[in-house]
Amino acid sequence: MHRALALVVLLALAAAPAMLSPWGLSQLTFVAIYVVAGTGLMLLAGHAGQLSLCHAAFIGVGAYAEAILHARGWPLPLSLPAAMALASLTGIVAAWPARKLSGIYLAIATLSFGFIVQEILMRWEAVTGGNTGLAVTRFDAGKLYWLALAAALGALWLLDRLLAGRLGRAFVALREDATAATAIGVAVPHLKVTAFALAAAFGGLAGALYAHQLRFISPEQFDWVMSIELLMMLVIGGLGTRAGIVLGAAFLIALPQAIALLRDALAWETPPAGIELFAFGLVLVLALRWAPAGLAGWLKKSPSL
Amino acid sequence: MRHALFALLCLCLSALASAGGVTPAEIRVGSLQDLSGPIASLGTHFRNGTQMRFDEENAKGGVHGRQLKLLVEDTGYDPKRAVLATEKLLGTGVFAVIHNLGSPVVMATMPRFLDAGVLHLFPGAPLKEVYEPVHPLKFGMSPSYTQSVPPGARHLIRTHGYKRVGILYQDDDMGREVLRGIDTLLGELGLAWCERTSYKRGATDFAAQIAKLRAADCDFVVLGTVVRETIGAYTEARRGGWQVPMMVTASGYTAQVPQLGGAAMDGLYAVALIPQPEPDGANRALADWIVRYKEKFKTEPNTWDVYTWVGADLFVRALHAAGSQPTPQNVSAALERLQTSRDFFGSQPIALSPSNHLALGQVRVAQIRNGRWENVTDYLPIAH
Repeated sequence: MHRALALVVLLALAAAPAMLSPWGLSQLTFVAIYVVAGTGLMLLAGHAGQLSLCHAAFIGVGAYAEAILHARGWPLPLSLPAAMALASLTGIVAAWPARKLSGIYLAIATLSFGFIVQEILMRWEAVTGGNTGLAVTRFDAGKLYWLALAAALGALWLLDRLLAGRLGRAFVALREDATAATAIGVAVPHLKVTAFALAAAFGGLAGALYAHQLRFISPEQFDWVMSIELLMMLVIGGLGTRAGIVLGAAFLIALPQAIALLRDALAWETPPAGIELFAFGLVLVLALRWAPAGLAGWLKKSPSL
Repeated sequence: MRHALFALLCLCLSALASAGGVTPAEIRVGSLQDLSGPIASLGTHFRNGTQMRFDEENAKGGVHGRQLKLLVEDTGYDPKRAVLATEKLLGTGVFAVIHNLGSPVVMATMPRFLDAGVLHLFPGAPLKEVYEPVHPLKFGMSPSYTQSVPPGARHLIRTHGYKRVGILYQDDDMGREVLRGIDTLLGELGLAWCERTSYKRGATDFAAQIAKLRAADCDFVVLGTVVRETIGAYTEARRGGWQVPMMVTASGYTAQVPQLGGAAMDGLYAVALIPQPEPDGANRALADWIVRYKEKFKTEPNTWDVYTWVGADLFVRALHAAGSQPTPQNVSAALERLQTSRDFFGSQPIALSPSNHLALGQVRVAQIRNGRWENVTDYLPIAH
């Protein structure tokens, strides 16, 4: 059953560029990009237990690095790893206060770090274009879909491998009890830096793809709201599960679109302003009420699936 | 993992769409609005003004027998949602998009519409990029702040002989554009800055900035602010007994400023692009328009309704002129020949041409007197 479903899904994903409208393909591309970003945050927050509110900053660094390098003629095989490396370096800097902090204090420290990165993107006008933003090189929608899909599947596979190994067990030990982890020989400060560096690299890759998908980036896009959105996505999907990342990303991207379709179907003369946001909030609250372990947990319990 | 695969499968089965935009019965026009985000108060009026003009035309039988259908998508000011809404509109088939709102939304989506051969009309984004360089499919409504603010400031500086000009601006692209515009103007007039000070978006306390401007002894202050900040800064100065004249950009020229700020706002100048729909002293056509608007939308109209009504009116006129088989090319050509005179709102005459795709090429200076905006000057040409 598992293999058959996997085969159907892979076939469907392969056929998507030919079968779907650009709107459908765009949604799938966004989902794939958010899966990449979510994988990094899942590693950091879900498995290593580090509550980060600056994931948007890593995505922003990756987006700007890719936009600037690609515009200067760097080919993707060079610009994408460079974007990941720069974001990863940013993650290492973000981890500096994290080595000594945890819980709400870490959340505040990372939130502040996000503000600093956003401020740099705004002020460094010669490079980033400041608040005016930056146009990004156009990329064929089909090719971008394949790239984002490969990145998402690769990220999920890498997360799987990481968690199966020594590093993954160390992350879980850190999440459960940092003192106990130290007692059994885990170098906690070093491990936190590693978690941030890895998560930021995923964020950087997502950012690079996001820049091409949007074709225009500005500092205000990478604010704390985006970080919260990513955390919300993981909680809705199911913290600590790979399925949760995909379900959360699909929920975040596709639900507002489904609501907009429903609104069209109701054929109001003048739909109430903000009805989509209201419906999204309502579904979100209901999902949390009836599926506190996330969509992945809810589906697991559901006998029909 | 099985559930992840299932979710992806569900997503893959999304709808297919057709192309089009013009059928024998209707012309579909898209609009990306912020109806739930940070500028939703503008977005609702952007939608209403456009809908009002389309409905008026539809009631008369439409354009060459076709009804105008407005398809509004809510972006929440989020470029990601805007890109998806763009793909949706393109898939549904739209002939044009009109009054798309928000600079990041417009910058992320305009190339997509232009690539698809869709007319991109009069967006709510004061950016030069929306009308320059000239492109057959893109037409702008309002000039950039760099162009629209200096004529108003020049008029007041010359008329009153101000010598010590200061500025309070929002520390973002909007505020910096105002700063650049006034900087160039001061260079032209041979004046130096008296003081420059800024605030972060969302600020509510302007005591330090006003104290700084006052300490520098400015005799005229330009406000690169929006609604709430305009009220905050102006009342802060007046509360401390500082009666310095201040002028705000077109963003502050809304009925909300005197309504929310009260009597303390009297004396504030603004750059005005489009008139306020004031019921007091309105001509018969305007009074009738206000009544019909209130009946339809159950709220008071403001300057943004007029702004979008005028933009939609330009589009409707061009559609009529283009004939019974509208194409983006013949409607664009019709827009380029369009010349309008002052309408019942008192809007400025508009003259588009093959080399000018910016509709509002003039500004007026207005002032709050007895709790309402009054015009101080007639229309002045903008800076180029």
